[in-house]
Amino acid sequence: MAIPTQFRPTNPRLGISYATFTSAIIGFVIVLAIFEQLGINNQSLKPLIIGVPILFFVIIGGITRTVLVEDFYTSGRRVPPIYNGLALAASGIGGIGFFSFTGALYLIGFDILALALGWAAGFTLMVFLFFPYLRKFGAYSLPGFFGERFRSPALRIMTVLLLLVPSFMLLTAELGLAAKITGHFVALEPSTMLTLLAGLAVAMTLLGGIRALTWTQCAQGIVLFIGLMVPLVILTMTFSNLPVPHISYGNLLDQISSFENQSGIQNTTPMALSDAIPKPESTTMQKPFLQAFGLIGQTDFLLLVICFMAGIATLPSLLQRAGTSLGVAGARQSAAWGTLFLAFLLITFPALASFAKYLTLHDLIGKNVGDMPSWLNSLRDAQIIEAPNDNRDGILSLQEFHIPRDSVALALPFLAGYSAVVLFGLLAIAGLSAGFAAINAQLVSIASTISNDLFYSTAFPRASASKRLLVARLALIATAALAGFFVISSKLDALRMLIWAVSISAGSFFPVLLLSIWWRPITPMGALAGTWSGFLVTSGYILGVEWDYTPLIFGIDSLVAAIIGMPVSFLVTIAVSLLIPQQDEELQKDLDEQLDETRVAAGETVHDRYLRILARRQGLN
Amino acid sequence: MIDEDQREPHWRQTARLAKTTFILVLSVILIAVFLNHIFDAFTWLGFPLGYFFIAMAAPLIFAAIGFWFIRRQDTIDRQYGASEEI
Repeated sequence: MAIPTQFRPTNPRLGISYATFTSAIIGFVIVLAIFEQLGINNQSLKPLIIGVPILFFVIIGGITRTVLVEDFYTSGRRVPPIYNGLALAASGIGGIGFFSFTGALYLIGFDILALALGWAAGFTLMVFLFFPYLRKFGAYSLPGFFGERFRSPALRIMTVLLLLVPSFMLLTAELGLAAKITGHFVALEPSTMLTLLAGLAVAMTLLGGIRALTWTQCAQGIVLFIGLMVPLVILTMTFSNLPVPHISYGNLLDQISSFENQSGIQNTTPMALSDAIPKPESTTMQKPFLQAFGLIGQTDFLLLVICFMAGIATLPSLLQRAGTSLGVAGARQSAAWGTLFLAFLLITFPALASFAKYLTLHDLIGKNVGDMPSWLNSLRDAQIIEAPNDNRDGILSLQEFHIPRDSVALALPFLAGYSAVVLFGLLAIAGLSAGFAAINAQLVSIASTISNDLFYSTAFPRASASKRLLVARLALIATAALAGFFVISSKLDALRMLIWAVSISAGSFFPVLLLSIWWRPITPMGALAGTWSGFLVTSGYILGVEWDYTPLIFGIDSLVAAIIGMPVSFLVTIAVSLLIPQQDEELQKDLDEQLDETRVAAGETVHDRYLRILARRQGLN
Repeated sequence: MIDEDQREPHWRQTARLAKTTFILVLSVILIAVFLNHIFDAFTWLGFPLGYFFIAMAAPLIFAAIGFWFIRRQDTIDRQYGASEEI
């Protein structure tokens, strides 16, 4: 029996440690900037600027190693709310939010804000619908929650399979994107690069599980904020006296509109959601920044918001963070802080995108090709943008200026005329940190569910703590290797993968998770039928539409498949729960009692209570 | 520790608060999507208000709703003796 850890104090020097880390990162950036001014070769600085922070993350991952089960699966249940919120926001936004979302904003403007709305709303749902109850329940993972909430090992195993799908999709999407970004700094073969990145992710989390995940994610969150805000604030100062990018870019919007008019960007009419969301390939701006519902129609916009909201709120890699917080009130606060940090990021990206847009339209489009600044060539060489070298009329037109969606954020400092590799590197490491936070979260979530829900709880309940951790570590390595292999052998669009994964998560988990906390009559049978019907309908619809087997139902796009999956799951859960009554009355009484406990903040976790009851029963026998 | 007879009223209050919060979140989304063209007629600091509401205000409002919910829920928990403080 493990010693109850809820009274173990939080490390009192946590604030000092992270203040030191922050100063170290800032100091490092200043040193690099000085080196660059002194004329040290850019090529030798480039690997440094992303290498050193990543080295820090690996070191933090090593320092936070643990051999305790409680630490490995729940970070000791004593992470203070602000740190937990920072970790939550960093892994919630991920590299896809940083690079792909910003790029999509640059290309289609207003319409992609559906994601931002859904993202922030999803985090808010976590605050009041799920986090406090999952924390009070105290299971180590989402399948663990379902398994113990309904006392059903079958449900537990079946949920593990459901968890693997969205988590693995996100893992591969983030890994692929991280490899693409790192490619701008270190020239490596794709396979070597992926091995390196997957290896680094493993190194950060292998020894400490969620404990390492928590503290590396906090560090990654700090680097994310520094790396995003420093270049952006410097840039803002060139436009306005107010160094607050979020407010300053308002004055540029008017000019952006008139430049767009001059460059021939016409108002557009809505099209299918799949086509409207920009692809990763190089392309040019597609619609006026401010035009509302130009490519994504109002209905599709709303469906995307709802789908994203429900999916983000039930993403297993984010929900596992409920277990690490310090108490039930702490879980609520963690999620609320997470929402605040996330909201800050979400309102920053539109500023970044519109700066990039303004600079492109103001400084490049319609100008003489001969007068183009020299950095344009280096961007071209680095494959960050595509613009023709030889141009017939000598004028760079909008149609000739192409930029890959995920490179927009990186191109910003160059567009602003700062060829400093430090600013470019800062933006890259900010996005990479978010990417690593997301990659690691998926890795740990998969590894801990395999070790805890498949190996320990179901197959070998007598396994020792060290065996459980060994299995988790092996699963972690295997998952990373598999993901790396998968990314090499396929060409993925990170943003679409994110939306699909979130859709599948919404369809499989949202209805049943909601009902299992908020609707008493739900039965184990109903939960099993509900999760699987939701999953099968959602993923079946995605595959059917993508492979042209099924026509669109009511014009609902495959990206928002959960709009069909969620109602089906709700109906099936409720119907099965009501029609097939629970036979075992004693079990139902236990479940009801357990649910009552879950709903009250005070007292030990339901998980600990269950273990205690089990131990007593075994003692009696 | 919560008294047995307090469980039911405590949960009723909690569920009501959650419903209110959920409606708040949904109404922010609906306002952002459906009143966008009305707001866009106004401009503030250079932002058309409809754009401003989605891109800036809504995420921050969501965060504010989260913190508001925490305060209300803590009050409810304390009132019924369901909070963790001993």
